[in-house]
Amino acid sequence: MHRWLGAALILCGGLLARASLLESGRRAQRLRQALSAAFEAMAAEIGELLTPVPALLRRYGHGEAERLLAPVSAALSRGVPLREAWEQASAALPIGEGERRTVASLGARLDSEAESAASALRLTASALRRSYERNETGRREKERLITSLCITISLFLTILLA
Amino acid sequence: MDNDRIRRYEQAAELLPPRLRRLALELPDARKERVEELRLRVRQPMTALTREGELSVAPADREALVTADDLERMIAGVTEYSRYASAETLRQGFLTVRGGFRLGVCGTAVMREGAVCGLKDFSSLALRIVCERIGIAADVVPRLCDPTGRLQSTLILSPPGGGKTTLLRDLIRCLSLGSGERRALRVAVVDERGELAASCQGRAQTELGGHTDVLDGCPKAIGITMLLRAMSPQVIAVDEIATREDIAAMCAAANCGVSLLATIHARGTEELARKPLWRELLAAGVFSRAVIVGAGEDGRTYTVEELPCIDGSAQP
Repeated sequence: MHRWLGAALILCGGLLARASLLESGRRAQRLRQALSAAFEAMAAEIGELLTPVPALLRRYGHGEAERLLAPVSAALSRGVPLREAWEQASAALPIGEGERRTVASLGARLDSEAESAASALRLTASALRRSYERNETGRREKERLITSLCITISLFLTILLA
Repeated sequence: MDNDRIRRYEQAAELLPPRLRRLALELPDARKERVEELRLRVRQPMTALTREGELSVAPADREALVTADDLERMIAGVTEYSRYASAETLRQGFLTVRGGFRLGVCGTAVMREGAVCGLKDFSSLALRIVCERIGIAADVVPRLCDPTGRLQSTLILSPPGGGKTTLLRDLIRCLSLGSGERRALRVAVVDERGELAASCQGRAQTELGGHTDVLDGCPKAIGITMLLRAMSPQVIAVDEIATREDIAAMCAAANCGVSLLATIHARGTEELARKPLWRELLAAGVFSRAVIVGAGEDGRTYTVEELPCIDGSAQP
């Protein structure tokens, strides 16, 4: 009886691991999409209205983009310099290392001329969008792979235990 | 002890980088209340400008000297890390700061096609503590109005730093609020350099009365025309008219029946009549009153004079 219960638990664990892995991938995709949209909107607003950074952070720091923009906004209000605040918040983003570096470098380029700040935002948005599309293309295949790996490993362990 | 001035000084000190802020706040209250500006120059100790001259705020030892990094940090802070949002005023050498302060900036000019398009490598900053003197114009206003209560177009004269802008600000407030004997007027302000309203993100940070419309950061000659079309003001107020275009725009406004308030750098009406541009202004007959701001023992004095209408073509 205990053996069957253990086997069932292993199977459930495998399914949970699958769900968690898939969800983290989807979350990263949502984050790429949200940040890309926020950066595009911020660039447009800088170009048209010259809105200062703290106001932009408050305006676009919701949804998934909140993960980056809300901590930066909070750090700025504590007197932390923008570059430092942006780098710290970028380091915690659940995306690839290269993408994190791209996002982190943006902090140093916002405090400049409007054209330069807007162009830096657009470039970062475009890099994130490309990354999103790349990941989206291989997503189904990757999900199938994760599903089969998780199920295979848990079934293997179940068989061993049973 | 003028607690309001001390409070303004301490608010201004909050804008300094932490190291310099600490030094500025250590100043005794008796000196804080006399400070009009804080001046930061690279590799020099920070100083405070008072009526008696510049006094050192910090010791002259190496640690207390201002660094280029201090200036960069201060500018980044006051522009909220959004230099692009202040590029237009920075190009002209100043920044309007939250709290109603004004930061004069010196450095290397970046030239493009013969015009200054920005400043870099900052070398000095002058943090002006804008002072509001609520009520100083209360006695002046009745002397500027005709028996029907209409404001006579008025020039405010004094040398630089003499208190013209402070008086103009309170005149705007008094006219806009009105009083028991005088109805409130719609006052429109073209605040080209952000000294009158010290607007920050659309909000005036000084008290200008409830019937005042502020056009911030716009050149005076353009702004006067815009306000005439858009806001139908009864009074238009501008600070420091300096060009022929400004004068032309003011003449146009006067022709539309609007009363004008303006400041000019001059010691008195005689000096006005000696300078060619101001002779043109006097010849246009737009302004009929002048307030001369003087320095008395107990503070500023305000003398109201009638302006002569002169022949602009004649040599002084």
